[in-house]
Amino acid sequence: MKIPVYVCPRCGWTTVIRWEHCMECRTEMLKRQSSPLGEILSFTTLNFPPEGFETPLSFVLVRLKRGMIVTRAESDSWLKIGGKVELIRKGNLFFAVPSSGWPRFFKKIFG
Amino acid sequence: MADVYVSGAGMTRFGRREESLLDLFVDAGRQALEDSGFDRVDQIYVGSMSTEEMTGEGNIASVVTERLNLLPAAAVRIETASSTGAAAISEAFLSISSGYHKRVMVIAGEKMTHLKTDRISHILAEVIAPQERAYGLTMPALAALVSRYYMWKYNISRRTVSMIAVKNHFNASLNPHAHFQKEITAETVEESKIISSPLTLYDCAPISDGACALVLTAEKGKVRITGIGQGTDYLALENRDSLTSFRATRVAVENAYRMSGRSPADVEIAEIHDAFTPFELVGCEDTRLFLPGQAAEALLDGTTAISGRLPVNPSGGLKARGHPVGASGLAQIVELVWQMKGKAGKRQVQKAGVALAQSIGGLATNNFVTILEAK
Repeated sequence: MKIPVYVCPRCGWTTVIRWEHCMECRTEMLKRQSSPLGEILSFTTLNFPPEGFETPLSFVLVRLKRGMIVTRAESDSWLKIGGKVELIRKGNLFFAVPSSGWPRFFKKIFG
Repeated sequence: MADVYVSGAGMTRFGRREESLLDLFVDAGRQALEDSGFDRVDQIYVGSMSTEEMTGEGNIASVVTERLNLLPAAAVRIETASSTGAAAISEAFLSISSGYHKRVMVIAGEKMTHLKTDRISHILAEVIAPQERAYGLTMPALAALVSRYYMWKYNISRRTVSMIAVKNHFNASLNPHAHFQKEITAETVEESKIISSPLTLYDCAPISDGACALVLTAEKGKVRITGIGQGTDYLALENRDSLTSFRATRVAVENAYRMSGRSPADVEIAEIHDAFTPFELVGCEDTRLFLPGQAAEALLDGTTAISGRLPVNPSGGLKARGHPVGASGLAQIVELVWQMKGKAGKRQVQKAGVALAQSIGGLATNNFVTILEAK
């Protein structure tokens, strides 16, 4: 699985959010793919979610090869800044799962 | 460009209030008018983030103007999320400095405590990026992501972050307008329930009711607004250029310093947006009052205490004075005006000749910096 990202061919500004034109130099953005592998920049578990969500909610800010993305995680017990993660898709959302050498079938079971 | 002076200030006590939002507005507005000595203004700038959702009231600028008996003055509502109060000052400043008006009122308030926490979380989350909201992210969760990274990068301990809340609650204990008027310990902060890790309940500004007001004039007064700056940034955290600094503040402060002709070395007192305790450190650094990563040291050595060289949040800040979201940016200025006029009572600082306020809208998507000088 690849993560869709939008890259400015002129200045290199990159975003995971669909963007028609670069907000830094106004150039038309190009749609590219990024590896689902990344590194944890930060994480949190929210105990007081907004209406319509169940508690607790864990979030991970991940640095991809191209761009940053906020994802969910099933739990925060394994999270640490600098940790390696792989992103998987569940419905419309991305979830971060450990990637440090775990075999793919293991991640599918416990991700 | 005409000079702009503050001739009157008023503020209700912040906290859980039984009065209606309109009653709070009227109380603050009348105090400011009485303090100024004027009974008429050319225009009213009303700041409130979400009266429609919080109290079900619309057309709030007209309603406030009528209730204050200020008809037929022009009236407009201003909104930039949690920096709404600062935005209202900015617009009022422009109307006088341009020469269009001679005397205006800036008034801001919010009524929140009657709503359940999950409802408030939902309303406040409406100001963040829709893509991030879809994940269930809220303002405290985004602030927690920033806070954890900031603490990691600069090796800031849990105890150091707690000391921000301890300082600001102490300051608020001296402020009769504050939501929380009692001291706390670091243990209080660390043992309180976790809102969004690593942020605990006492790291987060409370849900508050309250209102405040200023009268600005072209006529000379004791306090002059000498610089105002505003900056914006991407809604989504994913698109930011830094996790330890907010570009919207960096842009705003440079504009404010340029307009005032002042530099960080001139600032003697500051009110910094501390809706989440680590944001006080980030704000101190983004306004260049301290170098990146060094605001914590200034906190711990007492530099930012009321008795220190550069008091930060002598009011108690959003953290302890309280955070009626639409009012907070204006409440910062009210505090600085009182400090500059020597009217701050037990929390009076020694030197308040040049003052700076920094206000954050949303997750730092629409920020303001205001510089005031005693004349």
